[in-house]
Amino acid sequence: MRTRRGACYSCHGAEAASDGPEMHRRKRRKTATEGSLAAVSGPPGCGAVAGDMFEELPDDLVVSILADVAASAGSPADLAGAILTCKRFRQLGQSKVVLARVSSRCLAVRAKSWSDSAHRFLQRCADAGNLDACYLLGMIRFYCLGSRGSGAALMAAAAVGGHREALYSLAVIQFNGSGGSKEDRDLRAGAALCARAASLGHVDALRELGHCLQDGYGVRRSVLDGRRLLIQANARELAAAVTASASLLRATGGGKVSRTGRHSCLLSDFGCRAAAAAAAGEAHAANRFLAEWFAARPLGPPGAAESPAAAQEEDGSGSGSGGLRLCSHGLCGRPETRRHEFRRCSVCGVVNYCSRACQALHWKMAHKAECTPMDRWLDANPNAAAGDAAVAAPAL
Amino acid sequence: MAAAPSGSRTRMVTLISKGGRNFKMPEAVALVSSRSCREALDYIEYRGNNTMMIKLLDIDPKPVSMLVNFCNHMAAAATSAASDDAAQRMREWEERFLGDDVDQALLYDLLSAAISIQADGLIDLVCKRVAHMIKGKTPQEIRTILGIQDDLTPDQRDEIRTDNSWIDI
Repeated sequence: MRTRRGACYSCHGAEAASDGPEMHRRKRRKTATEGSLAAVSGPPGCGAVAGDMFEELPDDLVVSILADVAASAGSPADLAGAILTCKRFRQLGQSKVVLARVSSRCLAVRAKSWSDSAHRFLQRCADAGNLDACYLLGMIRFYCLGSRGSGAALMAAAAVGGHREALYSLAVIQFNGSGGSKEDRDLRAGAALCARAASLGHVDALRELGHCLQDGYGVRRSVLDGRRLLIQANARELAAAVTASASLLRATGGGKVSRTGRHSCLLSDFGCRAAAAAAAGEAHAANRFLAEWFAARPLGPPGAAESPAAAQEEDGSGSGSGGLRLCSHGLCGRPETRRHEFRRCSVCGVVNYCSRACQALHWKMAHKAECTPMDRWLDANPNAAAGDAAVAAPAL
Repeated sequence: MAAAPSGSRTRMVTLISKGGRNFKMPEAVALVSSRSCREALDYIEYRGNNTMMIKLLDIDPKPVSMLVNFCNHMAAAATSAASDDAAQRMREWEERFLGDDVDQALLYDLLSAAISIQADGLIDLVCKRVAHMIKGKTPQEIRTILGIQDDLTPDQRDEIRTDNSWIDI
């Protein structure tokens, strides 16, 4: 049986440099009491030799391996299996290096599984600097748990790190004055955040910014620039859909070629239906969580089953939650935080949206077919009486 | 950095494996991949003969030759233009390099060799490969693959299970 006792390790660059030009040999053992080689008595053959070798690996390499597992994990279970393996993995699996690299799919908590332990896991990842965790936890806290302050702070932390979903979500919050009153809306801030998200490639933010420019909403009005951005958003969405279907084709070995047909939709204000449908499969874990959460806990009138949002310390949203609506774009999942926060389609008045980007997506995926003009009727609620309460009907 | 003296042969770096087998690579190649070589060559002002020797007397010839192979490939890739295509080809080469015929013992030897000369690129690659081996497996399967003992106490195991109760496994 081969032993590895003679192997030379010199993992720390600084130390090697100070040792001079000679190739220095130093034995580096992991810390602590467990794993003395005499105690290894595993299965005979390759397993025992491998265990021998693995035990001698320095901690920073094991951390590196666990971090790679975390980064490539396709689901939370992928990492969980590694943690349960032995003491060393459990201990090193808690290290910040590993938690910071947990992939977004590994973080994807389902709303039905929400619990303290899930919350703790997301919190630890967020503390370690994982931007996806900051964003996801921020969204959950803001919309589902009603903690507006800490939710927004978490999203801001992700945004500062360049997380474009977080930037866009904060923009939506600013545009709507979510978590506050109508006077808390800050259109300029919203537009600035949108611009930052758009510069990082976020398609919805691009589209939203395009509409803002066309309307002079939070930015100086410039119809041409707005149009340019809308077309750019369409192009990006289409390009993403094309590469996605191409890689799918490659993966499935060139199966049935989908007919995409001619794309005149590049010039439309709202983009390509097929591309949007392709993007829909990639809905972010945060939106999926929100949609599932509010599917299970309907935002009904007061007196119905008390939602957790109503029990939180923030007032002004939970207490008068009668008639709070969800964004009609099902994949968005965002709820209103006060009555009449979202704007409705002015043609039919039936659907309402958190943002123009959601309106555009929903229009081409479903609403175009079902929107029918109703006779104009005055909304009794004074909140909605302001002129900009209704979203202009899509001009197609 | 010293340039190759004009008119004489290129400076080489020699790795000596177990059994006295020598593997050479040009100094330029070693500088790209190996941090130790870079630091060592910073110290050396004058080298009479042209070869720097690195002794890896515990490691078998095969991993050392794979290491040299890796360094050569890295150096070649570093000079060629970066593009999506090049990245794809690099990924494919890496997959072939650490393909299924590389068993665990060889993997660890390769890792030892890489650590010895601080070839960070190869260390990362081997770590990724090991990660790939254990990703998505059950704890018992991982223990079998890596040959490690289950030394968790029942309390610790319960604690982990509670922490992970939100995951549907």
